[in-house]
Amino acid sequence: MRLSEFERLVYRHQDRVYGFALRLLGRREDAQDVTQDVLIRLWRRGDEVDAERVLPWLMRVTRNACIDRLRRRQRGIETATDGLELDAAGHDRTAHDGAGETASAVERLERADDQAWIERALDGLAEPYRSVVILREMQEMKYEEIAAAMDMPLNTVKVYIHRGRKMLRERLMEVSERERV
Amino acid sequence: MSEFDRDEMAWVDERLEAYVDGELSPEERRRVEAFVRVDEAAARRLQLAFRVSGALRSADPPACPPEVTEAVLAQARREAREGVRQNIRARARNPLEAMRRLAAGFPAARLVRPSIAAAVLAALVVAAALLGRRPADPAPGASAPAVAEVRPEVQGSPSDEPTGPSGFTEAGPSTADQAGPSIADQATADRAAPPNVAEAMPDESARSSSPVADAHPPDEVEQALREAKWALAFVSDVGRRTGRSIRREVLEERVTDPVQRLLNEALGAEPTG
Repeated sequence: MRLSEFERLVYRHQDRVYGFALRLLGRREDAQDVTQDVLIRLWRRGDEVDAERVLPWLMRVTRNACIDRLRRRQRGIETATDGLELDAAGHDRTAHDGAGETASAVERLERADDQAWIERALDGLAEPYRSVVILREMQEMKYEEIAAAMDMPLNTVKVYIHRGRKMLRERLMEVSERERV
Repeated sequence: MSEFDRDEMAWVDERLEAYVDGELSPEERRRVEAFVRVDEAAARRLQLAFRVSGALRSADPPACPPEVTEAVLAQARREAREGVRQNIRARARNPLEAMRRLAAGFPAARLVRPSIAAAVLAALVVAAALLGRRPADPAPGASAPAVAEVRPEVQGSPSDEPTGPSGFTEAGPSTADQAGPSIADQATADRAAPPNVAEAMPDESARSSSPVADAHPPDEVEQALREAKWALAFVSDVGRRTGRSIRREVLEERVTDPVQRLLNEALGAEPTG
């Protein structure tokens, strides 16, 4: 791959790669590391990627890299030395407890903090629903691109997206019901 | 809530996200709207579905930090320069190998191999055509020992036992050593001057003196002669080119006997035992 072509692809897709990694990992430093690794991998293996399928390839590689990171994190290999987990809006994720969530879950959806609640809710969403919801709703990828990135049939992608959003809705409903009580 | 309502709620609940996305059929959309109008819980769920969708889609996409971009591009440039240096070093160490690798990655080189293969194939086709061409019938005076060996047999009476193997035995093993026009030479002669069938025909005097020749049309005899001469000339040429002789038993099976049968059929001679 020519250097000029690679530079063009970096500027075109870097925000998506970073945004996807950040939403999956929840940590900026980790997301930056993954973004750098993924883009360098594109540089080294770009000749193997079809020019029209670069985005699905990037999303797939990013997701796999994030899953590896999360597994290492769960095994305790990575120690949370900074300990600060920020969501995409810059809010400290650890600075919340059940009461806070219960008290303002519905209100957050009505204010600019709706995104913060959604980011947190996405953390609790199981894979592959979380990935497909992020790719569709936040990355604005087409169904076909998501199917290629996730290596899923097209119909499965659509079903999983709706199911994932339904799960988020049900979670919000639970919080809302608790507030009413 | 009645059982009907519970079933209807379940049906609607499964389709609220698709309704938000506008992906339901007109009939399904009407059904959802009809139920939502009469069921407060369903209406609440639809409202939450819209909010979740809105929150997801209005999320600010985070921008990749500039330092990440710079680090990536710096590393790529570094590796690109290193790759060029490595190529130069490799060419200096092993220029042939480097050129091969370079050619392998060069789009035009992909055309070179097929072109070479095509050229080789064309050469083989030409060679096969030259080898396979029927030799021009030699001029009366031309020296063609293998062919000359046949002529006496053809001219002989049908009652005469053909020399068959013995005659070919002399010709066969020794054809490699005998000088004579090769098939390629004959092919060249063909191009220079069309084969003269009349010149290749047996001597008119001999022909006219043979009762067999008188009994059979000259075309059949000519055809038989042609086949025999071609086969023997081919054998001679192969032997000369390879420097090897064809074993007698092979020659008998593949050349002598078939030619003999052909001649016998043409001349109506009694098959030999």
